[in-house]
Amino acid sequence: MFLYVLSFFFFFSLLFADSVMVNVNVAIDEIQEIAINGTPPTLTPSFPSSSGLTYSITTNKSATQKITALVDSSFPSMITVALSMNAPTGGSSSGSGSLSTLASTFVTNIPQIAQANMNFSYSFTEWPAGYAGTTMNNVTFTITDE
Amino acid sequence: MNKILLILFFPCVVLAATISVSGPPSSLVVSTATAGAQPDSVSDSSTTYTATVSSGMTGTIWASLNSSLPSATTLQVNLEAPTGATSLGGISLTSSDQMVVTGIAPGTYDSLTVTYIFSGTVSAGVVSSTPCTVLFTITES
Repeated sequence: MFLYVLSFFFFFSLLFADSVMVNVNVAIDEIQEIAINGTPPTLTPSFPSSSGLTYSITTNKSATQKITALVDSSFPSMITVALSMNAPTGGSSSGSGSLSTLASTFVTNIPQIAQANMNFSYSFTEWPAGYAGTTMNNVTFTITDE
Repeated sequence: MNKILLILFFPCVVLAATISVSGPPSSLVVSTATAGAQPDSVSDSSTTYTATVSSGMTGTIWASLNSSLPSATTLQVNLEAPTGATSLGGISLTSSDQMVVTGIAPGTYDSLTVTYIFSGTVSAGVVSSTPCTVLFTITES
C-alpha cells in the first residue's frame, strides 16, 4: 500500500511539469576595429613632439594583425614626420618610422585582443631651417591581417 | 484502494502546467565592437511564450542549455513575467536548470516576451553559425 501511494505521488509530480525546446542559431563575424583618441597635434620646432594621444583596438581574428599608417598627401620638401606606437599586449612595436603616402607598418603580431588607451606620438625628425608655412595632413590608421 | 488511486490520477493530467513558445528567434550574430572593448552583444525579443498554471498551484519556469555553446560565448534569456510573478532578469544559460520566472499564479498567460542575448569575447574568435538548443520547463507546486 505504501509503495502504491509513493509511486502515485512520483508520477503525480512528473505530470506537473512541461517543457519546450527552442533552437537558437548563434554566430560571430570577423571584427577588426581601431580608434584614435586625443586632439590632433600641431607640431612646431618649439613643440616637435605630440603627447597625450592614444589608440584602441579590438580584433577577434585568429590571424595576427598589424597596424599601418599613411598620410593623404606628401609633406613639404625636407619635412619629415615620424610616428611611434606602443604595442598592445602580445604585439610588437616597430618603433619610430616616417609617415608617407605609402602605408608603413608600426605595430605587428597583434593577437585576438580588446585593449584601449595605448600611447602613440608624432614627432618632427626633419625641419628645414628658415622654413615658414603650415601644412595639414590626415593620417589613416588601418588594422589588417599580417 | 487501487480504484481510488486511479480516480485521483486522471484529474492530475488535466491540471498539469504547460509552456509553449511562438517559435525560434532570429539568428543571433555578433558583428560589431567599439575599439578597445569586447564585441557588442546582440539580442532578439521577437518571440513570446505562453504559460498555464493549474488552479491552486504556483508555477516556476526554468531554463537550461540542451547543447553546448561555442567557447568564450554566453547565451542569456530574459523572460517577461506574468502579472504578479517575478522575472529573475537576464540569466546566463548552462546545462543545469536555472529559475527564470517564479511565483506564477494560476491561470493562462500568453504573448509574454522572451529575450535572448548572445555575447562573446574576442577569444571566441570568428564563429560560424552554430545551432544551440534552449530548454524551458515549467513546474508547479
